[in-house]
Amino acid sequence: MSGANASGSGSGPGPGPGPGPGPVKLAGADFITAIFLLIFGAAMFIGAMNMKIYQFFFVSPGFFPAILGVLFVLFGLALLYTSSIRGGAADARRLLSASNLRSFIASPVLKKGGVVFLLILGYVALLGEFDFVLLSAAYLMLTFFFLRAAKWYWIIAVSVVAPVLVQLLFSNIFRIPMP
Amino acid sequence: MEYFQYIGGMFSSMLRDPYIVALIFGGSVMGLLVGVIPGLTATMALALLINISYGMPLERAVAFLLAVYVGATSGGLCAAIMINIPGTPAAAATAIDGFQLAKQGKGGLAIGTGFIASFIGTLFSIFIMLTLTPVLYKLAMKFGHWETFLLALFGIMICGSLSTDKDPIKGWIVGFLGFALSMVGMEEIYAFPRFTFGSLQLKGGIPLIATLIGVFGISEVLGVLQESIPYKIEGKIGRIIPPLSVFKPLLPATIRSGIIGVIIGIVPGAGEDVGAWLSYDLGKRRSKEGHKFGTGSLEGVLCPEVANNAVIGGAMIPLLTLAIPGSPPAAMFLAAMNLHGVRPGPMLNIENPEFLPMVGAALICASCAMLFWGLLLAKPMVSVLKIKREILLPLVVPLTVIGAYGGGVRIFDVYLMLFAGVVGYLLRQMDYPLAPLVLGLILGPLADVSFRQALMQSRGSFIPLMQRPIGWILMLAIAWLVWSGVKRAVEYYGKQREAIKVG
Repeated sequence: MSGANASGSGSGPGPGPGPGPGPVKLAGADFITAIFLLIFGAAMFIGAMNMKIYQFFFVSPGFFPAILGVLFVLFGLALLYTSSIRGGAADARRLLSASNLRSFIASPVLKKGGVVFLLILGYVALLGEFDFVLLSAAYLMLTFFFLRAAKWYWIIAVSVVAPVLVQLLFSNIFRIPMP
Repeated sequence: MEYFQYIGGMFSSMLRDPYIVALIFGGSVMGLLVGVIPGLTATMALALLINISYGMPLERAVAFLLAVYVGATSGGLCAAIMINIPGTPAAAATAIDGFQLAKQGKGGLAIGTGFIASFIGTLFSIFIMLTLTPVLYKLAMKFGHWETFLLALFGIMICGSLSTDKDPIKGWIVGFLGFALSMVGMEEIYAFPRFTFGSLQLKGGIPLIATLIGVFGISEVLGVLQESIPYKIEGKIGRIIPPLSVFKPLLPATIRSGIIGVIIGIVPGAGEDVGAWLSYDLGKRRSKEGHKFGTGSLEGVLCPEVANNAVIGGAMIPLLTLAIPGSPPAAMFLAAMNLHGVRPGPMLNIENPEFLPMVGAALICASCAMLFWGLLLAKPMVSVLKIKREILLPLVVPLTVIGAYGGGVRIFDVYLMLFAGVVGYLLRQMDYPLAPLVLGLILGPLADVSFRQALMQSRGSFIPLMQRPIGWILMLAIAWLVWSGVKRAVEYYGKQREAIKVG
């Protein structure tokens, strides 16, 4: 609904510096999504048609995914049309151009988001390899330091105390299996 | 009458169990705190805290999760009023008048009115839920495979239409993407593995809870941490509890908002934010004091707060009778109930007749706890807003990991959660609503199996569908949704095209 000023509840910076606010803001992104939907729908349809047929096709496992595949192709065509009338093809070319990609990669927003994501990725990838409390403390400490979330002694205190408390609460009190 | 006495008995038995009381009050305060923090929604509160309920008996799990749900839905109003950033999307409409009141030094009064309005809204919706659900159980028993399939389709279409104010086609795309994701794994009729690419882990399908935690938790963390807007708390909080005389002239607005909230709650996937906005909009047009909306009107705070909490009881009605959640947090609740072996739907009344009264009694207790904590802790909750997001949001990540892992005790689920988080983040960036994705994931298997079983019964013929009145109603409703949605999209893009020409 319009008017929401919800932080983090939906809208955010678009992928790369766009040509400005308003109608064409997402035209390029919509154009690329439309192409993806066309490929995804076609692949889903082909995959569904190759599934085993039991007695009749309409009761077989591939029947419903095949319909979904067709629907995605139709949605892709609709999105292709709506983005094209807003100059989506040209905007998509601009979005994917080398100069735009360079400035996109250099943007502070992407750098910040990228590092936050890589820290989460590293944390998840190392789960099971290290003790949960140690790994969580290391993840929190690195993230807090990167985000300059507080003074260094607060960062160390929160990074150590929070995982210990979480372990105590979930593992010892609520008996939840920990990774 | 006997039925309501039974619910009263259930309510008093819950109050006699100190463990349940502790869980309700604990869950309520946790929900409120999560709701207060901008970026953490009611769905996320349930996603983060669902794992605590894994080892609990059913009654305690229901009481705890509903307390979190009610608390988180209500908690969003504090941030909306004091910093003009809603704690949850459900409180976005509250910010308009609430923030104006805060600037006038009446922030506390707005918060107090908001919590009382939330309490009334929840109680109103519980009453409607307890009255309407038994009737709908009987109607739901008449649903065959055709009706179930059409209802699932209707759910996706209406959720897609209502969850975005711009292009409903984007809502539908996300809804059907949820359908597509739910096709992964062994299908239910022949146990044939679909789209598993030989992976054993995928044979069990896409885990619902891990996916929801990713879509609502990780994507939110990624999105919010990119922002760097500091909060500024406006004015002093002042008096919290409003005089009773404030509410007397607001009675018609309260009833109207309660009805809107329940109706929106019943609509699959529409959610608390839609109810709040509709109620605010109608309040502005219908109220004698409508011209004061936007300038700091208590009625402008009351309308959305009654409605967003009334959605809770409304959302439980389709969930309990048809296993179709009315809102994203209700979808989390449904996933939790599935883990506890409860299968909502038409048979629930026969298989587990105590469940509806249990939900009703737990919701009453939860709303009382919410009001108690809301009025008591309003000032400390506003102080929570002084803690930086850079501290709070990274702390969420280990909790999401535990939540995703605890459901199936597999690291693979944590990887899927992260993947779902990235997908959710990208969808948000491109203006796609996420609620239809959740509904699609839940309704996908239902739609697939019921459609194929209906065709199996009719040996591929659609003629039996033409002989079913409920089927006709649903088909007409879907056709109307498609027509109105396409019309809306054409108008929206037509305006954009004009703007480009002018610009």
